[in-house]
Amino acid sequence: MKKITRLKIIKSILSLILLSLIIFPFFWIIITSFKSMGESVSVPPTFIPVNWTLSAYQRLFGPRNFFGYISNSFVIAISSVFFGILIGGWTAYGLSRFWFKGKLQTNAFILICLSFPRPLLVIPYFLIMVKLGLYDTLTSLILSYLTFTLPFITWMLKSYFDTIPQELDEAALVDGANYFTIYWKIVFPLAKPGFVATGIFAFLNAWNEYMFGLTLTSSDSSRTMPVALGSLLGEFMTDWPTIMAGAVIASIPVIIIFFFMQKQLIYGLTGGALKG
Amino acid sequence: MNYNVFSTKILSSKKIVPYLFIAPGIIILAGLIIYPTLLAVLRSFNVNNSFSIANYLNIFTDKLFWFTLKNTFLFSVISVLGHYILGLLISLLINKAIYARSFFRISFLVPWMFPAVVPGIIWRWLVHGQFGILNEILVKVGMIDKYIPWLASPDTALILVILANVWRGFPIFVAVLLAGLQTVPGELYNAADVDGANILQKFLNVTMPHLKAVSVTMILVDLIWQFNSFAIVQTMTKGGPANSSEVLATFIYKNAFNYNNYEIASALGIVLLLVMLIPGAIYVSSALKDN
Repeated sequence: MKKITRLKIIKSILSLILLSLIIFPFFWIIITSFKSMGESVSVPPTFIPVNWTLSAYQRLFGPRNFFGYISNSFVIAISSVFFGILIGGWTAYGLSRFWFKGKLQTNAFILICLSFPRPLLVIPYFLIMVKLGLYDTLTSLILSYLTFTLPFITWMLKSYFDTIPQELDEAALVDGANYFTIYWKIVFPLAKPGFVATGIFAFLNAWNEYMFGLTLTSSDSSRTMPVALGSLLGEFMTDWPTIMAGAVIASIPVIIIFFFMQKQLIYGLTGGALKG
Repeated sequence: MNYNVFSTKILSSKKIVPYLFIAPGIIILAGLIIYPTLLAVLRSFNVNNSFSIANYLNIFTDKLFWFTLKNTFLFSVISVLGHYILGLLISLLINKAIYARSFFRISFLVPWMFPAVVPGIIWRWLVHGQFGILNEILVKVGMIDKYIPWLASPDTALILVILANVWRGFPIFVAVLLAGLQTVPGELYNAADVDGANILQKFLNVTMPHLKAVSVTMILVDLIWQFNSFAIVQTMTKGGPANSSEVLATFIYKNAFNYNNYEIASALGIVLLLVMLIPGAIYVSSALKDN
């Protein structure tokens, strides 16, 4: 028994040391975000700010209008998840409940879409959106984000529907309901936890996306939060505290989801990784 | 009335209904992914509006392309190895017999919480040649004499980008492997104890067999992700200095949006797709088999 306690203590201390090393960069961005611009570039760097200041956050939300980018990101992420669930749930139900000719090929097609290289898609998307006059609009980003939210949601929901007993469908069928009413009235409500977990994970993927955002927008009115953050780097005099303040703000939705929806997130993380 | 009977019949027919369910999603996905890909294929064979393979010849005779391809392999393979090793170590460490298990389980996921551009930005700041804390710490502990411009030097840029990418990506392995460790029945360890097995033997003969399937899938998925990595390289180095940390995704971006050469960029995209075919096919067939 005593040996086990000692092992427990050693492992805990080891974990704590490792964790401190891994968390350090996060700690450092928070520290930097509370420094003044002058102090951030002092040599050698100060470990704890000499003067704590909120000026970086003021610059971020004042002249830089970070709220605008956040709301763009939010609208795009929510929309691409909404349409992904609307269309993907429908498809997932078909794949989960029926045997039909071409089912294997359809499953394979969804998986191919799921693992498709996005850097290839960026070029035709840019050219198409310019041609359609959709370049630099939120619509172009919602459409391009559907290239990953839709196959992901479809595959995850299919797995979730597979766990709901099919007898419920059969019973309703005997009572004269058709499959479409069964989907909306029976399966949809029962699968709510699956929709939530899948939706959260797809939302985070869309919230984090960078490449489409960078290539399909040019003006502040449609620029997303990650692109705005990245563009702060390109300027002549880099305002590090403001960038770090932006990085902190950008992570807040994820942190909130982490603390309130851990279980769903882990489900999406593990299920999503394994199933796609 | 007649119409109702008819529609009920159609809507409950097991022959037609499946296709009504899957059709919208499949058509939309084809429009979103297959159609743009076909456009890229056409574009890649286009030289002055006539059909030609010159773009591909250009790519394959370009030393920079082969260098970028090699970098992409290095970047993805080392990143995946790093993710796996770190993920395995940490998940074994915090799985059992530890205080505050759930605290550790959540805290180790922190690097994964940030939007994809943030890790690049953080690391660019940490390893900054003039104001970076890494330089200051290394000087303080005496490992280096003076600040090193890590990202501005072709010798170290790629290494640092990979390091940042390992930091960013390992948490998903912690989560997945921890879930895998829950599937190992405790009695097996007891039986191994009775047989007098040591820690290493227990790990190799009891733990690993239960993690094998989950490891293979995760490594495959991660390899596909890392091969398409863009955000972390773009924010840290933009593929520089002097292309030393260039990967395929940043190379495609550069050709399309810095040089406005959409034909070469499309051809590079198709090459990326072809390279991805092998891991992609293994992934798709294994996921179908699990199903």
